[in-house]
Amino acid sequence: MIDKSIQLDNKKFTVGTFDDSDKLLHAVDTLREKGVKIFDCYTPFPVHHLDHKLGYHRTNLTIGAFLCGMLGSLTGFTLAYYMNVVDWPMIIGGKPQDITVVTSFIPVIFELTILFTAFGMVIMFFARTGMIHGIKEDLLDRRQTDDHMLLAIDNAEAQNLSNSEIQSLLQSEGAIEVRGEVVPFNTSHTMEGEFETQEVASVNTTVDMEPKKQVSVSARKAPVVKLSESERNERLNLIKSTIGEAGGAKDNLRLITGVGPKYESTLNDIGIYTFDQVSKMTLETIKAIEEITNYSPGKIERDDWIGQANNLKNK
Amino acid sequence: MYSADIRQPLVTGGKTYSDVTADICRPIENKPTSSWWMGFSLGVLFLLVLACTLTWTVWEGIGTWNTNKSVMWGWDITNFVFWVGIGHAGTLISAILLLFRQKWRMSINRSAEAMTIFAVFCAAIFPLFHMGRVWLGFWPLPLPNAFGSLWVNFNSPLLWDVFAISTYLSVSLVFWYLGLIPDIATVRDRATSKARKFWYGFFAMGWNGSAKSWGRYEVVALILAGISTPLVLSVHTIVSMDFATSVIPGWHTTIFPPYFVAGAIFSGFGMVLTLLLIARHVMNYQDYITTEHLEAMTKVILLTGSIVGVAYITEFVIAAYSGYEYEQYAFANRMFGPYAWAYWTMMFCNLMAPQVFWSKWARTTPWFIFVVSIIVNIGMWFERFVIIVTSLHRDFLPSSWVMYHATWVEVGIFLGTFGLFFTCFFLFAKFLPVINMSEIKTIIKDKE
Repeated sequence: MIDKSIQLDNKKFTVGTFDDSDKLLHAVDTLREKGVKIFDCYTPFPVHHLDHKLGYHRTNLTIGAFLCGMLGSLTGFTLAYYMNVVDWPMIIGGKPQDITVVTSFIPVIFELTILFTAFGMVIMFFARTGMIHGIKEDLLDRRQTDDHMLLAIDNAEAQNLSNSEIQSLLQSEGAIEVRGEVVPFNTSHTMEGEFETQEVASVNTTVDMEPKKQVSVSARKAPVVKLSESERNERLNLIKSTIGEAGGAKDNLRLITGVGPKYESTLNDIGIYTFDQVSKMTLETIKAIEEITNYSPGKIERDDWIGQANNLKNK
Repeated sequence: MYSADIRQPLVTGGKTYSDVTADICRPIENKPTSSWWMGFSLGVLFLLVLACTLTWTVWEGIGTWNTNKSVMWGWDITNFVFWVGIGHAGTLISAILLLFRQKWRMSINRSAEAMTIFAVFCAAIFPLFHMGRVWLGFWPLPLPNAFGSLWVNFNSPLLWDVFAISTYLSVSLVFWYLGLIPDIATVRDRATSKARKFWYGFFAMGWNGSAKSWGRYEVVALILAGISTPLVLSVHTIVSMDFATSVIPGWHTTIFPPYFVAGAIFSGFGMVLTLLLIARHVMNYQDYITTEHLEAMTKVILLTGSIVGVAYITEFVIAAYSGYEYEQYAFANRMFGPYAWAYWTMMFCNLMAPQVFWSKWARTTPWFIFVVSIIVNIGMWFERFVIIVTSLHRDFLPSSWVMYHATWVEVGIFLGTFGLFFTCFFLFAKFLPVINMSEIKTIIKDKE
């Protein structure tokens, strides 16, 4: 049985990102056929057969669960028998207090069996997986719990293919992004601006064949900058050039999730009045808007303003 | 992926994986809406009613209730069985429907499980306060006899209840939490505020969705479902034995366990429908909780309602056939005695009303389902009231016959538990993903 907890220490990984579980399964097959050792896959939901394809055996937790259940039964029996038959026999309804009374202990024995099985198994699961409250998560991609499926290869492990061969193989299997030296990170050290960099980077689907330089958490920090007048004007022009002037009547922008009365007037100040304008936004426009208005980075994209505006426009 | 063209997709609106995440995280990441505040405040208001009436009960004594000879169990055990019954749908949906591979459960299991847990909290209040000295509530535990001269009595169904309810509550909590972990991790990875990063990070236990842990996770979830199934059935079986093992006419029947279990599922689905129809409307989840889901649930209501109806009639026939005059009288008294209005309310709500679901229109019209679900909730409360009060108020000795009416304290406690229930539910809807994202993502491409 391959021992693998969810903690990745400080290894470096080659990571292929997929947006479709079938492509991921196929990539796992192809890589394993070529003798590439896959460290693990990371998916936002359980992908069927992925564990078999990776060569994992079915977990032995079920045996542990059975043993816990037996312990529960024994506890229930001992408890009831000792208390009601051995230590202080009670005659209830004239019934004998000997082994035959065990029939009325069955409900308690049953409940304790279930209780011990459930708790025993879940505790064993946490222990085996290395999960405990308060530990820092090791992520390779901010969206691996959202919509990205990752195939991770440990760079330290000896492979019969070169790193660049593996990367091009991942690319030909339909990975939307292949990254060379990824260091696990966690969410607690990241600041506001980092989300934005990550979001924009993940939209970029080009494959970088050269191993990227080590991406450290601090390098990706993008602190909120106070814009100078000229920078502000530059961004305003960019916004105007992509979304154009408001034509026709002003729309109620508050219908978009994330826009309140205050932010609506801020948007109006920079010349955004209609759903049509919002629907024409590009990634650069969004970035410019966020910078001008100090809006929570990445939120416009996450709340899908463009999609919302398109829907509202057509209503 | 498997797809059958004759079936409707389980999630409509052509959602992508990230759409699912964005839709379901939206209430957590945005400020609460005004309807949330309204519902939550109303919940807290009734929670205050609960606090006041319970304080009064403890301060003044259990005499503030009208439970007395010979109606020792009045509203409070009625309410206890009512809430425990409601608590059955959650684990039924997530456990039994998982074993039956019913994929429609995936949109509703999270909120139904939450409902289970909150309902059991509400239920536990009643027997605990009925003990009178609630600070000695730990006495039913099998503790050494420094507190008295005896151990607890393992022959008693009331003690079985202590074990059954506490096991049910704790196993349901574990099951619920386990299902939440991957979704909590999703919220953590999207979090922008420090507090959210910390708390969701704390409860996500470092989850990162590795294939190895998913493999184990699925096995654990399956085994938990496997053992929860007999657990669900055992809990209401044991609750029914509180009645069935006594010698009171109207209670002393072997039909009680299956009849109570069917009734529990019936009332549980009634409450799930009530809650989900509101949540679906308020949170705009029509794409996730589709009319397909509603239809499937109304079919369960129809089935279990009919089982309950058959049980009512069977009970009556067996009483008539038994030749035992006390039993015969108990049933005649239910139908035509002073509590006949309660009996006929029950018959209408549980036996007649759900039969409308034979019609496709009724099964697919949300506002109509909502009305029927409320009727079911009322009917199942009256079922327990009828069983408890009509059997107790006229026992073997006519000189001790009494009439029982609840006091304002008993009514207040019952209304107050709704406050507790809804306060918990609104907090859940604000702080946790109401729909199981990781499960939904496995089926958005499916037609099944």
